[in-house]
Amino acid sequence: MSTMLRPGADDLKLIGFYLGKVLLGLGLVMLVPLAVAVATREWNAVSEFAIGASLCIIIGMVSDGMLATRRQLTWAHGMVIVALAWLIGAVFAAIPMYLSGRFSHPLAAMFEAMSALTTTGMSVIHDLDHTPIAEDFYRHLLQFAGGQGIVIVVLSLFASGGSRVASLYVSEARDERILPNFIRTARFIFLVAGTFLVAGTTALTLALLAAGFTPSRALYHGINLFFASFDTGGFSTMQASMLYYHSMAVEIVVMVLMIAGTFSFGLHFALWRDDPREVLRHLETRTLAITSTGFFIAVCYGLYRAGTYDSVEAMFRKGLFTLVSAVSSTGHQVNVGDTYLTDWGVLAPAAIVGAMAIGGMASSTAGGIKAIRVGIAFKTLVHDIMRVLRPDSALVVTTYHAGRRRILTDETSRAATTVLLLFIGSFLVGAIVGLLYGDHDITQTMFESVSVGSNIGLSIGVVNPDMPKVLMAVYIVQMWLGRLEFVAVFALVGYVLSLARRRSHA
Amino acid sequence: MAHEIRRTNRRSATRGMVYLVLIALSVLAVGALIATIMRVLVG
Repeated sequence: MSTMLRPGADDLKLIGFYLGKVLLGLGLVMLVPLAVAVATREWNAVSEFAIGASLCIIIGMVSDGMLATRRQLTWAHGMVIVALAWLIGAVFAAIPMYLSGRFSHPLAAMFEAMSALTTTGMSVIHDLDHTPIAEDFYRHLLQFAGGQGIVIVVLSLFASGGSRVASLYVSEARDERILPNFIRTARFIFLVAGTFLVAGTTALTLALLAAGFTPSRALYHGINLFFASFDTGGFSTMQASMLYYHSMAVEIVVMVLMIAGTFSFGLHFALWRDDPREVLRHLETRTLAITSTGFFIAVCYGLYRAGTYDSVEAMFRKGLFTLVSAVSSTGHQVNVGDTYLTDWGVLAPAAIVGAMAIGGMASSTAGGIKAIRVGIAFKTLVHDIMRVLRPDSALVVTTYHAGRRRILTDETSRAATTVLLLFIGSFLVGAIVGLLYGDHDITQTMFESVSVGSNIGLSIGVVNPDMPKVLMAVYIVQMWLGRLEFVAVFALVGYVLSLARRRSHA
Repeated sequence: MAHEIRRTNRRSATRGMVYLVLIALSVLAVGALIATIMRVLVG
């Protein structure tokens, strides 16, 4: 019997122990904006981060001392820890935010923290343009921490070495120790992210200098923009998002970073091993290339017909940027929110919603259903049609390329389509709650719900600092579910249920 | 030995990044091409 169904005191201690480690990490992350606040002499921010960091670090150290146990970490524990880490992490990350006084209520600060940690990028902050440097830097840094964190989790926990990304449940290798895998994966991910950090920030700083920024401001905006783009987060330093910069060079560098961020780490790894052909053969790249091309043709057709833009340059800067922002699940805006409603016609925003729903690649910081699931769902459909057309005695085998040639199994198909359906369910629930609370129509609430559920961050205006609290809470859950792709959260629910059952039996 | 490995890693890091930037730029080029074709077809 696995520990999952019979949790004991040792299991709870183990989960608490690792959650303490997560909080300790979060506390250390908070020390960075604390140092920035000291350097920029923003004393209010200094006190916010000092309080937040010390709380996290104290809890982390106490749990380290009190909850140490001999029980070994299993996959089931890992899932529960991951689900709780993103929830508790968001609560603690919200503390300095709430203390800043820039949020209407604690739930809004938690929304912002969850939005950052899940790399969604929706914001409910008041007066973003005048936010102190340290507080703004902190929002962006959280995207980096949450973004790289989820990639490590997906690669080492959900995928058990990257081979079963598409599976809903990791059924084998349960009791295998996962830490060595974790550390090796983490090292590679931070190597890739570090390389891009240096190159991306340099490119952005140069582009911003060319746009007329002073060197210090160019560097500050460059670093924040890098975090928001490469981690497909989408926060921005200014309320106007990308419109603020009015620079084609900045937009192109950001697009390159967004595309790099949406690439799965499996493909990053293949490229580092000098195997660019893997990119062309991979089912996920092919799915993304085909769907994105289709969506871009639809966006162009819609916008040219609606007469929104009539030049190729405008189409490139507005249409392509928005599509890349949607597919990569970043959410940088080159339009004011209302524009999608007032100027974009019907077809173009619909194509953007479709692109947002699919999202980027699995095991990257991108959100959404993920191209691999869409690709597998399509292969399943073709497989089923072939089975109908061929004689009964014929053996139909469908294969696809993902790292190596794989045979499409029923288990893979079922897992992919289940998660696909769960995502669609999440989109619908969010859209309906949006209709119940607030005075928006179905187009607006659907756009926003897909954007939140897929961790994108493009907004049509439903999310704002004064939105209804119930809707805010639903969006927080949607962001959490979408980021963890349901699996870990279901494991947590199962765990809590089995705990409750054990209590009632005792 | 460790020095060798670090050097190889550095080299492959650069290579990986160059490939990715090239892929991303070609995506943008294809986008510009589609926008142009659509402009001719619809506009």
